[in-house]
Amino acid sequence: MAAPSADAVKNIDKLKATFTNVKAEIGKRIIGQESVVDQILIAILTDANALLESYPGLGKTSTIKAVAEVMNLKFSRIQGTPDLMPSDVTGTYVIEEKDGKKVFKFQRGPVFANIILVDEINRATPKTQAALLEAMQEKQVTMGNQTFELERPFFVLATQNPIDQEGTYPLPEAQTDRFLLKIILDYPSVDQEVAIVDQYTRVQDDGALQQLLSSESILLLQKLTRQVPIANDIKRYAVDLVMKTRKSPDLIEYGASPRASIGLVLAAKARALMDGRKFVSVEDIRAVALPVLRHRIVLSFQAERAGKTTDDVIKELVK
Amino acid sequence: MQPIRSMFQEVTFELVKIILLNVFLSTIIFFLVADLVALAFGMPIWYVIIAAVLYCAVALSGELHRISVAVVEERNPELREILRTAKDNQNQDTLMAHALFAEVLEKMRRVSSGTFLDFRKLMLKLGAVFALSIVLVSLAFFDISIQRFENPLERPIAALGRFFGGGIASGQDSAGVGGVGDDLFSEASMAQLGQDQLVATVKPGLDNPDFNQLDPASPSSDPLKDLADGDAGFNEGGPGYGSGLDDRDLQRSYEYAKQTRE
Repeated sequence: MAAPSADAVKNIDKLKATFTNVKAEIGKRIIGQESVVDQILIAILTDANALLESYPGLGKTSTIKAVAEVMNLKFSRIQGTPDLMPSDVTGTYVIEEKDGKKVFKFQRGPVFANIILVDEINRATPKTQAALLEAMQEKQVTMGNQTFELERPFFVLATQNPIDQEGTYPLPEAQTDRFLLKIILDYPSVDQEVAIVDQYTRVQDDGALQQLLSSESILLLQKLTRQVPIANDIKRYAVDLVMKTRKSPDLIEYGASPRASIGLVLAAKARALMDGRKFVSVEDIRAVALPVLRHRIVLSFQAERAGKTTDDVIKELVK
Repeated sequence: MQPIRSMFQEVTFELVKIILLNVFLSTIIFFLVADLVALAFGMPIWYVIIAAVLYCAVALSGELHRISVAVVEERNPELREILRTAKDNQNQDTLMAHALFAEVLEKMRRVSSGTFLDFRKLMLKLGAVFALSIVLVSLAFFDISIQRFENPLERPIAALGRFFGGGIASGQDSAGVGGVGDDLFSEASMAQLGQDQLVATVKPGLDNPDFNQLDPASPSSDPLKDLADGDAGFNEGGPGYGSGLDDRDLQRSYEYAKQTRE
């Protein structure tokens, strides 16, 4: 590769301002939840999927819709229900009359978009959840003997709530492992909640968000994310952290897979890029450890009995 | 790519210079301390020189082995993590890597190589060199003699010499050898035979019986008497061991043996 122009290098310095603008624009719709927005952007930059979990009414769906709006991406929403069929997600063949002949035509499902919001994914049956797996992992859909490539960029942002588990189909470990991040939304502070109430109870204005990123720019940012250099000892730190999850039998029954190590480094690179840095720091690894690891470990009986959560255990390991 | 490599070469060169300075000062301190010890123990100066050269070689090899840009990062917090990242990725040819190199070069321009030095450590070492030099010069100037201790290496060397067969054989006159009292240490070839007559006195005791005081064994044709004599000889306190068995006991044994035979 020839040395890049000085302008190209200078443009890298402007990335932080770009992300600040994106976050500010999303902030017009979503009050608080800055860390959630950051994590969704990390998932988008790393070309990965994210699972959002929170109690109802905390703005999971609104946040994802706001992100999609700012990015000028094709957005579609799938509501997870027990009677949702795989063809409702991927699409199906329909009979169409053309030149007096009846032919089968593939009718694309909601999965053919850039950002897919799968609301309450744990309410869909395992069969439908599995249909999403291929799309999430391979970025393609197979119907009959035909395979359809999905448009890039492509992300699945799924939501689930931790209560009201009756009639749900909890995602198996193999499937949760395919989400790079598990993002947990917390309750807003008093001031934030007052601002939310104020925003949603006054006369509604147009409320349309400015589109700041195109799909091309997102693809370029994804490429740049993978290019962010990382020092060998910091890479080693990330791997050691994942290894620790496998070597703490008193706290963790099943540790994280090597996919977690890849995820940690990639997510740390994306965080560094958003922060306008051209290198990954140890702090980046620590910051993304919780969302990357929390759904990839299974606590031991002793840890659960001691009332520890996965977040508590990960924080102990990061110390 | 080339500027960043040149920069790292320059940084490495600066670090090597600092390491050389540090090792040089440490070696001087070691030499001066060793010289004081050698004076106290009356060791020859070449011992000290050899030890100082060895110390210098070991320290230099260890320090050069540990050479790392982490030292520069430590002294310049604004370079923390960025410098080692650039070093680890200096062969990468991507837009982000180039942007990183440009930033590193820009930051390094503002960093003086003087910041690589730990001035506190350097001043401490210089102070130690100065103090030790003063002590040594004072000793020479005021002709103060340090008590001469026995050379601690003299005995092990002699022991080694004996082990390999070069020592003085027992029984030879050792007068004037090694100057270490009456001990028989040092080279056998260095021993000088003297004219003194050695007088040995063997003191009698339980362990060293005086054979002159034993009765000569009486010849006997009677095997039983011999047997009685022989049995008695196996007992503690039997004849010949000076334990008090007299002729009456022997007579009684003889009588008993005779009765048994009959």
